Amino acid sequence: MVTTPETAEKRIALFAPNSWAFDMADALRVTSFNGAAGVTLVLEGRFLTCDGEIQVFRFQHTPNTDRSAASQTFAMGDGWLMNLQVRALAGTPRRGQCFVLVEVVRGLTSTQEPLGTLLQGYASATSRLAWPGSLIMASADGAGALRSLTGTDPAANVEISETVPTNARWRLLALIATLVTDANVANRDAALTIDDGTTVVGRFPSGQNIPASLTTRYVWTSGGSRFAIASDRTVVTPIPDIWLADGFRLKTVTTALQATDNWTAPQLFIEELIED
Amino acid sequence: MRLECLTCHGTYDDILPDGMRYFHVCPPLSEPELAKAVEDGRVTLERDETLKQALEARIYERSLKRDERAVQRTHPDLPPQIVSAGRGVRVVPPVPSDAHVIVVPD
Repeated sequence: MVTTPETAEKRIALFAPNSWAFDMADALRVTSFNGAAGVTLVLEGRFLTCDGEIQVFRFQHTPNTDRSAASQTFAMGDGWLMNLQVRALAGTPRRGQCFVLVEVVRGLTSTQEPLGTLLQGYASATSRLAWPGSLIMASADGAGALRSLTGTDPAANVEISETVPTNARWRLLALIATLVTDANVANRDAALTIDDGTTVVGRFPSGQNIPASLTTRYVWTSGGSRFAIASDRTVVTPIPDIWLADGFRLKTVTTALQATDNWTAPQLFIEELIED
Repeated sequence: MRLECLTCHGTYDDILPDGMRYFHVCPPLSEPELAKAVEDGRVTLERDETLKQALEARIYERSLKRDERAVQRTHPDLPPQIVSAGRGVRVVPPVPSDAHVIVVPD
């Protein structure tokens, strides 16, 4: 359809005052922090040119998968941004896994001046981040992704230790692991400790002595009370509702651990966000 | 891919079943490992200190600890780096199926 000069004039008069004006030096910059696999984001929307034409734009952006920042700049030309949305084109990131920031910047080279934030929040395959419309959200706002993950299976006589990855924030809901004790006579006593990488900030002893040649399941879980079920060889220890920043560690410390005692890989149930 | 850390000999999957990457970091020394380090003269405890007391007071890290967490990049175009490679890793056979859900045929 051809845009008549009258229509173009009306569009500019109507939309320009309510839009972001761009000139040739301005651009859209997207920055993502993502931990999910196989994600491609698409930024799409409409742009009103100085000729009064409404152009549709669609830019693709591939985030990193280690939660580090990936940034890309898209030139827009002269005109006005009418609307913009971000969604996952590929992959299935959940809320808490793929954080996106879209800004207006001046400059198309490595030296860019950020001028305004249009969008900031979690992108997913099921919901949209939209300008205008969406709130500017911090990465630590709201609920995160619920994950069940298997950690490292330690060698015999080595403790369990899991570290919160770079740019992640974990809320520990439960940790379950099994200790197989060898034939050496000793009373093992396992505790879950939390440290910030250098200093212990929490210690949750099970309070149960475990003798030789047994297989015992340990559960550290948010809330509840401590109990042990002898017939099931299960020891349950409560932990507080706790958030862990990147670099924090969850580890067992087992008193009287013997040379061929063996912890299995821990199973963690966590809520995960991108670190703010 | 199933990997074995050549520093601590823990084994892990680099990609978890939910598609997320896993970042292995070696654990600190356990009580038997600390006992061996004391015996070998690599660690000296304080006077009359027991292993239990030492482990409650301090964290004993292993040398050449592997830490696969991503280093914050100073520029987005730089290649990803990990904190420390330690002694490296080797690929090991996948864990024999220990599936928790088994579909029983009719």
